[in-house]
Amino acid sequence: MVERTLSKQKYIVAFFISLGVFILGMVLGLFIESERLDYVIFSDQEQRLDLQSLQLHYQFSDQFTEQKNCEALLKTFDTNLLNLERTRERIENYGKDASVNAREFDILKREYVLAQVNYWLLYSRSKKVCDLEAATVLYFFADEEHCDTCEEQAIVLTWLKHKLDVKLLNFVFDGEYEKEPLITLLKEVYHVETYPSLVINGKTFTGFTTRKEILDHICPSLNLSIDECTNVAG
Amino acid sequence: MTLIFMNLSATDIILAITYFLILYFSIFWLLALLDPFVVRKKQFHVHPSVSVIIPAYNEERTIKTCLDSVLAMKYPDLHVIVVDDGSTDKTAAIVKTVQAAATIPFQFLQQPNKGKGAALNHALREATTEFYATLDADSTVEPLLLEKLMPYFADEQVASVLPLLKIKDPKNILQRIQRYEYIINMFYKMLNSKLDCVHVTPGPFSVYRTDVIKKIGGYDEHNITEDLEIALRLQQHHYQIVQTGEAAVYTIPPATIGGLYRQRNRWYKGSVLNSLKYKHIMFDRKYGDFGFMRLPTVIVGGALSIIVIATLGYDLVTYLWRKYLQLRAVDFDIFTLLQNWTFNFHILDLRFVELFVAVCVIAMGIGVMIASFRYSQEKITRYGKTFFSLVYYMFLYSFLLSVVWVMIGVEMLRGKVQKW
Repeated sequence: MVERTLSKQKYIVAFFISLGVFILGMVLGLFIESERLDYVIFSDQEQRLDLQSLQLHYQFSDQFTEQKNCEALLKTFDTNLLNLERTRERIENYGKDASVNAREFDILKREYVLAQVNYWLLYSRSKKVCDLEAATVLYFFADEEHCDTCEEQAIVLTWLKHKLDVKLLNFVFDGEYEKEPLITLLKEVYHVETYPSLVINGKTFTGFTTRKEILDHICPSLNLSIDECTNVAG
Repeated sequence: MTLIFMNLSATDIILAITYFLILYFSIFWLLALLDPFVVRKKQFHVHPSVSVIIPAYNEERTIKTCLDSVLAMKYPDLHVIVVDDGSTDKTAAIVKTVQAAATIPFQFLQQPNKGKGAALNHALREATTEFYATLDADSTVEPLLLEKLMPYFADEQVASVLPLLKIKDPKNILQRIQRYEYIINMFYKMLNSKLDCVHVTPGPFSVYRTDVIKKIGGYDEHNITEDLEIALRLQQHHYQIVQTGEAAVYTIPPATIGGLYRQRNRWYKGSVLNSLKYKHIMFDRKYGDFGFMRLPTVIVGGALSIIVIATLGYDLVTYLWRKYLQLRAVDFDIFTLLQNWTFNFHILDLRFVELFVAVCVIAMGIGVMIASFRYSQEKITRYGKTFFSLVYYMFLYSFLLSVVWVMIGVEMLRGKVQKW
C-alpha cells in the first residue's frame, strides 16, 4: 500500500504564484490604461490647436477675401476631421477597456462630440465664405446591441470617403451619448430616432443606406455628372 | 474613480477564472519538478517471468513487426500470449507462422470478437508468469525494454511500471504533431508519477504484477478505456504506478484527422466516464494528491477546454461574420479600401494584458517542451523539418483537441453510447 500525502505546500505556493502573475497582468493593464489616457489627452490638446488654427484660417478668409485660400481651408478641414475621427475611435476603444479611468475617457469623449459639432458648424460657415463644394454627412450610430447595421454603414461611409476624398466630409456622432445635450438637440432637429441614421446635406435617412442611395443624393450637390457618379458607385 | 473590474462582463470573469485555473494547475505540476524521484530499484538475481500479452483484432498489417520486436527482446524468462479477438483478416495465420518459429513459450488464443478488455482477461486467465505486459499489436518494443523496466518492481506496492511511449517514424504532419504531444505527455506523466498520480496505464507495454491485477478483478470488459479504468482501480487500492524515462515503446498514431478524432473521442469520453465511476476518490484525503488534484482535473480540464474553445470560437466566428457583412456592404471592393488606406497604428492600441497572458503561456510552453524533449532523450529535429508541425502544435492542435471535448459534451448531453 502506497502511503499517500497531500502536497499542501504546492497547493499554496501554486496559488500565490498564479495570483502574482495575475496581479502583474492587472498592474500592467493599469499602467497601459494610464499611458493611453496621457496619449489621448495629448491628442486632445493637439486637436484643440487644430480647431483654433482652422477657426483663424476661416476668420482670415472671411476678412481678407482677396487673399483667402479656400482650397487649403478645405484640405485642412478634411485632414483635421480624419484625425479627429481616429482619436474618437481610440477614445471609444480605450474607454471600453478602461477600469479606473473610465470617467476620464468619458469626459474626453464628450469633448470630441463637441469638437465634431464645432467642425460641422465651422464648415457650414466656411461653405458660404468660400463657396465650398463638399457634401456633409452627419452619421448617427449606436453600439452593436442597439444597431445591427452600424458597422456596415460605417464601412460604406469609409468607402465613399476613399472614393470622393475631400468632396465628402463625415461627422460621426454616438446617438446614444445623451450626456451631451447637443446630441439630443441634433437628434431632435433631424428627427433621428433609430440607428444608423444619416443626415446628408440636411436630409435625414433612417436605417442602413446603400452607397447608391447616398450617391444619388450627394452627386447633384457636388456638380458631378451621372456618369461620374456611376463610376464612383462602381 | 470607478471601481476596478466594473467594465468586466460575465464572459470576461469566466475567462479570467478559466485562465487562472489553467495557470494554477500548470504551476502546481511544475512544482513537482522540485521533488526527488524516490522510486527504489533493484536488480533481480533471478529474472522474474514475464508474459507479453498482445490482443489483436484485424492487425494483419502490423502484427508481424510487433511480434518480431517482442521475440527480439533480451529477457531470460519471456512468454508471449497473443489473443485473436475474432479477426476476419489474416491475423491468425500470421501469428501461427510466427508461433511455429518461436523459441520461447508462445500461446495463441482465439475468441469471438468481444473487445479488448475481454481479450486481456482471456490471456490473464492463461498467464502463469509473475508479471505481464500488455502490448498493442501496432506497437514495437526496444530489445532491452523489460531489462530496464523490471528493476522498478523492487517494492511490493509497485503494481505497474510504464516505459516512455513514443511515436514510431511519423510520416505526415499530423503524426509529427502527435509526436510532440506524446513527448510532452511523458514529461507530464513523470511529474504525475512523482506525486503518485498516474491515472492511465496505456496499452503499449505497461507492465503489471499478475497477482495484483487478478486480485482486483481483472479488466472491466465493458469499459471503452480499459487501460484507464485498470489504473484507476490500482489507485483505488493504493498501489503505485511508476512512469520511467529509461526505455521506450513505439506506437503508430492516427494519420488522419478523422482517425485522430475517433481515438480522442474514445479516450476523453472514457476518462470522463471513469472519473465519474471513481468519483468517490475525489477530494478524499486518504487518496492524497490523486484525489484532490489528478482525478478532478480530468473533468475540470475538459470543462476548461470547452470554455476556452467555445469563447474563442464564438469570438472568431462573430468577427469573421461581421467582416463579411461589412465587405458585402461595399460589394467586396477591398481594393478601394486598401488603395487609400493609411497607417493608423499606435503601440498603445495593442491589447497588452492579453499579450502578457499569451507571452506567459508561450514561454511556459517552450520551457515545458525543452524539458520534455530532454526527459525523453529525443531531438526535436529527429524526423526532419519541424517548423510547420511545431507551429501547428503550439497554436492549432489544442484547439483541435478542444473541439473533441465540445463534441463529447454534446454527445453526452444527447446520451450517445460509445463503443470500443
